Amino acid sequence: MKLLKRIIAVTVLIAVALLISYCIYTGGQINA
Amino acid sequence: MRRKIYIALTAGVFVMLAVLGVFVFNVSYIRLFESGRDLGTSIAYYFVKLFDLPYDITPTVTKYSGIIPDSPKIPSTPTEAGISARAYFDVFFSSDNFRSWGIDTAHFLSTAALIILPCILLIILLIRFMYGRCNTKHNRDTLPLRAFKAVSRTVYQPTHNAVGGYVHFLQRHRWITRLWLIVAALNLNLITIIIEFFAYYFYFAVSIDLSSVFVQIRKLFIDLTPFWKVFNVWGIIIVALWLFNRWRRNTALHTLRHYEARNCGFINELPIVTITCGSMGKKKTTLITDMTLSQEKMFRQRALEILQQSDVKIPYFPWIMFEKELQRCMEYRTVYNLATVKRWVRLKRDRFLSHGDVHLQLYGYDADKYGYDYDNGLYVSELFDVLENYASAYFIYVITSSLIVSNYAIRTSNVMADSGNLPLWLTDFFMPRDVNNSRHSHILDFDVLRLGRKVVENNPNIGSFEFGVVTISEIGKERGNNLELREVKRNNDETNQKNDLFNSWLKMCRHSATVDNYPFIKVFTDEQRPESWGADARDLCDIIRIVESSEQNIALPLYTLQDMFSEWLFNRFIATYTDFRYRRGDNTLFIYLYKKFVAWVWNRNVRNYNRYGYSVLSIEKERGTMDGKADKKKYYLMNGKIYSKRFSTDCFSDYFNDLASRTSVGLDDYLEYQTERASVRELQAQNSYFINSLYGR
Repeated sequence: MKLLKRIIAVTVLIAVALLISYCIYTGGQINA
Repeated sequence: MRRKIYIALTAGVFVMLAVLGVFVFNVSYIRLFESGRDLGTSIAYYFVKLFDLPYDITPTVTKYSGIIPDSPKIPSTPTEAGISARAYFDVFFSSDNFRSWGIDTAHFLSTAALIILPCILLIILLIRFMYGRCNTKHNRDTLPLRAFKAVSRTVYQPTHNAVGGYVHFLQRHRWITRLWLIVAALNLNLITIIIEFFAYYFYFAVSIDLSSVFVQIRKLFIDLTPFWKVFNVWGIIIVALWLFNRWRRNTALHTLRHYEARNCGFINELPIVTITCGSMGKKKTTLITDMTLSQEKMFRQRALEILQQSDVKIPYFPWIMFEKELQRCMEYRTVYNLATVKRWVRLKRDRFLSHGDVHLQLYGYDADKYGYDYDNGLYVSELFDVLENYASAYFIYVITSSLIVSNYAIRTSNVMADSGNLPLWLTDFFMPRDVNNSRHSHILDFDVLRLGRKVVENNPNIGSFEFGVVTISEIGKERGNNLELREVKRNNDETNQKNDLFNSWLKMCRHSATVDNYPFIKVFTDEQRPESWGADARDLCDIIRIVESSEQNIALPLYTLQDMFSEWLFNRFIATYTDFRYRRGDNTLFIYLYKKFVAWVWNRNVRNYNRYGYSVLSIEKERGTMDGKADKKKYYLMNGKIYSKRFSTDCFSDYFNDLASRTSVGLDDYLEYQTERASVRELQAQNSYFINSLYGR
């Protein structure tokens, strides 16, 4: 259970980081 | 001298904020006047519309600022905003954009890996090379560490102390930081935003002008321009983390209080006497201590409820005067238990009946006007009956010592807040309290619970126990069961479990403890097996069996990553550190700094678990007659409540310490077996019944 919770937490963290990065990248493309 | 420096520093900060306000954020102050005008016109507009008066007012809140220039980046109409959003999402969902982002991201990550991985490898190799050699220079600092400590001593420590001292100064004068925050909020135009919100609130309440909402959103973004001058992304991340941490702590406290309320609900379902059972290490004593603490808190709360209800029964009675006289009687020891409280009220009643002096006995209460009786719909109570209940409940409520009487020490941390009127108890288990203000439970003299023969015949405590929480650990060893007491006779000369009438007390204890029909008594006991306590007493109880205890959980939401990082870092450090300790006896700079950082992270994690951690006990509750079906229940053991030095798990350890201190032998002195197979001499050294019987001893 603890391991599963940790796997989910790390996956969500990476996904959120990539999403934020993609949002910022898209904003940059539009401004460019 | 130091105080003068602090005052000068404070004045300097104020001057700096003022200078910034004049030269950098002057726009915010002009905008503040604008917002004041907006608020004034909106309030005027609100009232003239509300009372339908003739008016010639134009609300200015719907107009843009003339001071802060409009930003072309912000869409000027909802349609323009929609077009911009559509353009953004068109690019967001385009495969070309996604592909180019993927290429750029992969390039960034590979470049970062190319730089970081060799660096890490180099550091590891360097550390292994530097610390691979063994030495036994015990506690000697290496040259880099000595240099670091010298710099730290001359630069870091004085700075740290000065900053710490100044922070302490600010904590003592909180108005300074509040004033700074107000000036900073004025500089950053935040006060204007708040005023504008109220201006628009008054305007919208009477106009319901939906088309103006977009203008307000634009105005908000424009008004935030001074704020963005100071707060870049990093500033926002720091503020967001602070807010996140605050939200997390508040949520955790809310969760723990909710669990405590559930525990109280469970305890309220229990009869007056319970026995908690489970094998060794199942947290029996922890559970009864936890229930005891909750029950003590509930007794205080219940006493306060009785006071409040009695107050409403005779609403015009000057209760404060009654309380103060009772308090004086308690100080002079005229009143020291419930029986003397009742005697005091009866005396008051008799005096009133014989003299009829309302000023002396009823503190000027106009009984002729407000009445002598209270009718609850079932029966009519006299004023003095209500006074008796009030006085008894007040006596229980204001006792400053613990309401717990136990055969092991329990620490309580409830604090009475008293400003000279009605005292209030602060009973929250999760707020930090000074341990020095604690009280401990009263020593249980078993003679006070014996209605028959006593161990000490002239014991002055006999008959004194009336109410409270009685907590007895290992009750079976004290009272025994029918089998163990087979040889014990009721008519023995000495006091024993059969002639002390303890069980009769158990059956009747609520009689002395009842105030306003509520029994202020609960008896919590524990034992490994319920059968260890005689059936006559056990049948009165509910039996709580501890099935299992869950692993540690934490009430802080979204804590997994922090927990994981702390655990990973600690394990990495311990592996390196143990190897280092084996190889070397000196102190090095790298290990010094590494340990400092790991200790900070680890201690933070430990503190979080101590404050917000909990475990769940799976328990089964059954009747003391043991002939019914067990109910499955949960009980929450919260670390912040029960593990904050509440009791000692080895509460009888002093007995064994005393035994061990009288011997001259330790574990190291015991004989060892010489091989894997015990010799005859070694077997005989066991002093075992079995081995001795084999050798006919």
